Amino acid sequence: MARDLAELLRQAAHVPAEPLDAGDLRRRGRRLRRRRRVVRGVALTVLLVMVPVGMAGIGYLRSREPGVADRPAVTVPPPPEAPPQRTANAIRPPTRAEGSDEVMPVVFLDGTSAEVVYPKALDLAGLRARPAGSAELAGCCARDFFVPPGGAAWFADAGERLARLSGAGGRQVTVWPAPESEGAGRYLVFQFGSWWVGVWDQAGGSAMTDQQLADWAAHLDGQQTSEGFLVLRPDGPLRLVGPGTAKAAPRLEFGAPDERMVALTLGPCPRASTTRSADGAQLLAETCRPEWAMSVEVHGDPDWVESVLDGLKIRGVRAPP
Amino acid sequence: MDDEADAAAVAFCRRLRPRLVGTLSLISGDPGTAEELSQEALARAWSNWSRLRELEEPAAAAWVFRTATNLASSWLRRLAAERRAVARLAGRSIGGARGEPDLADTLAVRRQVATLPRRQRTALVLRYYADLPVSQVAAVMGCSPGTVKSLTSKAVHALRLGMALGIGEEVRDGA
Repeated sequence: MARDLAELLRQAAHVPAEPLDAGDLRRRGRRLRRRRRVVRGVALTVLLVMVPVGMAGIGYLRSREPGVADRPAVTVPPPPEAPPQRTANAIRPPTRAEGSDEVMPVVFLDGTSAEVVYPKALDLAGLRARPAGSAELAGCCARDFFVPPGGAAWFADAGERLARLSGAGGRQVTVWPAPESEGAGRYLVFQFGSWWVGVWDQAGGSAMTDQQLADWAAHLDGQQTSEGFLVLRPDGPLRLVGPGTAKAAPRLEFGAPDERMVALTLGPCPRASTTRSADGAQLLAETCRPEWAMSVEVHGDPDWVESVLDGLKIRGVRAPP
Repeated sequence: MDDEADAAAVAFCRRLRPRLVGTLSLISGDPGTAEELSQEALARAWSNWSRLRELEEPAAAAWVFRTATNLASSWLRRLAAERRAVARLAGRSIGGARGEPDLADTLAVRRQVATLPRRQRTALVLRYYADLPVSQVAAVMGCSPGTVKSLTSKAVHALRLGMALGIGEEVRDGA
């Protein structure tokens, strides 16, 4: 008989015997506030000292340039930037018919390609595809790529842009605050064709430094294929996390996880298997075949999940060129 | 902070604390550490109350869970380094449960949860114990909702294999 996982975890979790120590909470909270005030004060002092010194230095240098007094002192303010458009940040991949099936060529972040074959009625392409995966910066950290619905607008919703960085191939990379609901942190935001890709600087319990953010920006290049898929080409100290590792391997997600979703994740499959787990009224199944070189997760109402498991095939898997 | 805001912040922390301590105990495997990290995360919430009070409670709770899981990640990294150092000094590996008297099932679940890779463990506990929706687990972990689904699916599968609990059903076909 299936046992309820949530109940098992509830039994296994530690329940605090003592009630919340509100006095200790306030003491720690006040200490944190004081520390923040001190840090802000130091930062402000540095700013107040450095800005006049810097301006005086610039003024001195300019005063030494010939003819500077004759130049018209007109500055043209940059045009106000329009708020970014909300985009799907997902594509409907092109397909072709093959009898009663539909064939959908797909390309993963690392350039691996394959063909997904399924009965036309399932219309997996109509669920729209979005890539996922991660990369690791040598001496720093691994981070997931985040491709949110809404595209650039998702990042801009959190506040004002913090910085622009020089990206690979002359690309502009921007830095945005993380949304309030996510706490502290910044997102490094890349645009590749119609794709908007974020890298969060806080995952794993530590924040990236400004230099590490600049390294990500400088070493992550990519492009959109003619079919619309995103392929990333990091270089130097930045490497894509490959298939079959504990970190997030290249992956394509179709649909939304709270509704119907099919996700293809590159990785070895030692033996053919299919597993099914209940998730409330929905079913989550994972299936793989050694010849697919990837696992397939299917989530949704049980009948639909079973239809996908029955009809889905993967073929023509090719490693990146 | 005025009295009204203080009362609201403390009430919020009081409501969240049992779930937060439980979550961190499953992620860290150590009840004492869970209580300490929870108190630290809640103190940060108290000190940021002027910002958090503007949010809906689930979003404010997600902020605290994110802070707490980051603290737990840092703690686990330090612990791993300390264990490696101690093991080197002692010339033997270190491991094993703390031997806390408890039901066999409870110990088995704790042991199995502790063996999961950190990302799988965090996703599983946030989703099934803390009862956060997939989108909030994704926000807490800084990954896509699909990745959360994938991590929890793998964690449930690993738990089932490890404990023969009959969570879900497995069918093997082919060679």
